[in-house]
Amino acid sequence: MIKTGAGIIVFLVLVAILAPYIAPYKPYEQNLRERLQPPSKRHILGTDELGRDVFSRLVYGTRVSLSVGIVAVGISVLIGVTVGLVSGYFGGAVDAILMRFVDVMLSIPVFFLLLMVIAYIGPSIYNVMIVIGVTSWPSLARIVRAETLSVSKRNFVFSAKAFGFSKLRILFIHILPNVIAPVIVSATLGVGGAILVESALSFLGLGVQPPTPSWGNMLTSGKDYLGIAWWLSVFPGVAILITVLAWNLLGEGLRRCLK
Amino acid sequence: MLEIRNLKVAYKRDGKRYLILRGVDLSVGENETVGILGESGCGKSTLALSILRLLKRNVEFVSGSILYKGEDILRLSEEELRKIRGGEIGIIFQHPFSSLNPCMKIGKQIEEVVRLHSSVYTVSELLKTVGLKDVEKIKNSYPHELSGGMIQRCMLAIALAGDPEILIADEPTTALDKMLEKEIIDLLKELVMKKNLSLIFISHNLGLIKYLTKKVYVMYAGVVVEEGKTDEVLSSPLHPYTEVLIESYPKKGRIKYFEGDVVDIENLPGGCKFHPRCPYVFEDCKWKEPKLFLKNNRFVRCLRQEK
Repeated sequence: MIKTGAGIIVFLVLVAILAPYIAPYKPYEQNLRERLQPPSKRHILGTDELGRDVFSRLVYGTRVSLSVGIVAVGISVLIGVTVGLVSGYFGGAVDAILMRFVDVMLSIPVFFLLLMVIAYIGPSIYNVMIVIGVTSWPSLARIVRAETLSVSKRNFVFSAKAFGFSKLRILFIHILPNVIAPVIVSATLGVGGAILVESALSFLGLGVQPPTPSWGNMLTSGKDYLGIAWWLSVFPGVAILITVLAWNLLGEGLRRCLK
Repeated sequence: MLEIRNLKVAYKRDGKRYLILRGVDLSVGENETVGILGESGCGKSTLALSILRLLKRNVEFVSGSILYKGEDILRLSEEELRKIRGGEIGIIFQHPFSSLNPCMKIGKQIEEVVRLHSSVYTVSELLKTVGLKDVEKIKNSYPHELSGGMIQRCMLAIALAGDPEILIADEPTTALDKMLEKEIIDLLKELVMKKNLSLIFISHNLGLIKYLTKKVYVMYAGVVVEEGKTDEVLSSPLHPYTEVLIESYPKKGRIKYFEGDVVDIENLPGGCKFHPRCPYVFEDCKWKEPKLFLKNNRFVRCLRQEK
C-alpha cells in the first residue's frame, strides 16, 4: 500500500519537476489547424479546442495540482498543530475558546466558505492554496489536541518540568514529536483532498485561471466538447483520480504501520 | 538550607477542599541526609513535589512557606522557579521507564538539561559519574533500549546536571528489583558523600531510610508524627505508628501484618488521626488532636507520650 502510493507520488513529483523535458509541446502553444484532434501519434492524448497538446498540458498541470495540495496541507498542518498543541497543553479557558472556534469552523460547510472567500479575494493559484489551508485545519487541531492531552499526562512530561524546562520548550521539544504520527497520516490523506478541492474550484472557474493548465480547468473546458472530444475531460479526470488515490493509499498505509 | 514551615496543601474535588498536608515542618541542613517515612497516601510524595512546586492542577497551597536559602519558593516567579528546578534542587522519581522522552536519544535529553542549566559537566562526565560504562553507546540509545537500572542512573545523571545542592529522591527504587535497588542506593550514598549533597529520601522502606539518612520524619495522615535521628527513632520509637512500621518490616522471612485501613484523607477521624489503628488508644485520643512536642531530643505527636 505504502509502496504503491509512494511510488506513484514519486513518479508524479518527477513528472512535475521534469515537465519541460517530458512534454513534447509547450502547454500554451496553439495550433488552430489541429484543433480537437483525437489521440494520435503526433498528439498521444489528442488536442483541445485551441489545438494545444493535452498530454503536455496534463504534464504541466501536475505542477499545479501537487503544489496546491502540498502547500495547502502545509498551511493547514502549521495552524492545526499549533492550535491543537496549545489547546491540549494549556487547557482551561484557552482550550475552551480555541475548541469552540474549531466547532464553529467545522459547522460551516467548507466548500461554501471556500467559494465565498475566493469570490471575495479573487481567484488565483496562491489564493487557492491559502484558502484551502486556512479552512481545513480544524479537524487536524482536534486530533492533535486529543493526542497532546494524553501525552502531557505521561511521566516524562512531568519530569521535564521538574528538570526546569519552560512550558514552551516542553511543548515543542518533548510533546510535539510524540504527537506527530497521526498528523503525518492525516496530512497525507489531506493532500488528496486538497487536490480534489483545487480541481473542483478550478472547474468552477474560481481556482487556477486559464491559460495556466490545471487538471480542474482542463475538465471545465473539456465539458463543452464532451460529445465530440471525450479525451479532453477523461484524461485530466483520470490524472486526478490516480493522484488522489496515490495519496490516500500512502496515508492509509502509514496509518496502519504507525499504529 | 531548606526550611518548610507549617505547610498546608489541599486538593479540590467536587468543589470541596481536602487537606493532604495539614501543617508540616521540616528542615534540611547543608550536607544533611533526611528521610521521609510513611505509608502510601500519607502525603510524603506531595511534600516532595511541593518543594519544587510540581503539584497537579487540582492541588493547591493553602498556607505555610518553603524557604530555600532564606527565599520562599512559593513566592518565586516561574522563571526563578525554573532555575531552582534541576539547578539548585535535583529530583528523581519512582518510574524510571516512563520518565524519559521515548522519541529522543538519551544523550540528547541529558544534553538539553546540561545546556538549560549551563552545567559545568559534559554529558559523558555525568554518565560516568553515575557509574555507567559504554557511555557513547548509551548516549545513542533510546530509553526503551536500556534497562530500568540504567535509566534510573541516567535520571540521576540528569538530576546532577545542574550541580544541585539538594537531591530529592522520591522512592527511586520502588520499580526496580532488589539487586538493582542495592546498586542504585549505594550509588546514591556515594554521590551524596562525594558531591556534598543534601538528600531528601522518600520511602516506605525502613531499611533504605536507615542506610541512607541521618534524620528521619515519620509521616501519617498529612502530618509529621515523629522526628529525630534516624537510628534513635528506628531503634526506640516513641510514636505507636513508628513502632507499628518497624514491627511490620519483614525480618528474616517473617512478616507481621498490621491491621487497619490506610488513612482516607477525605474522611479523617476526629482527635488523633491514628487512634482507630492505635494499639494503645485511650479515651482522650478520640477527641483531642496531639501537638508535636519535644521529648528525649526528638519530636513526637502522641498524647500517650505527653502524659
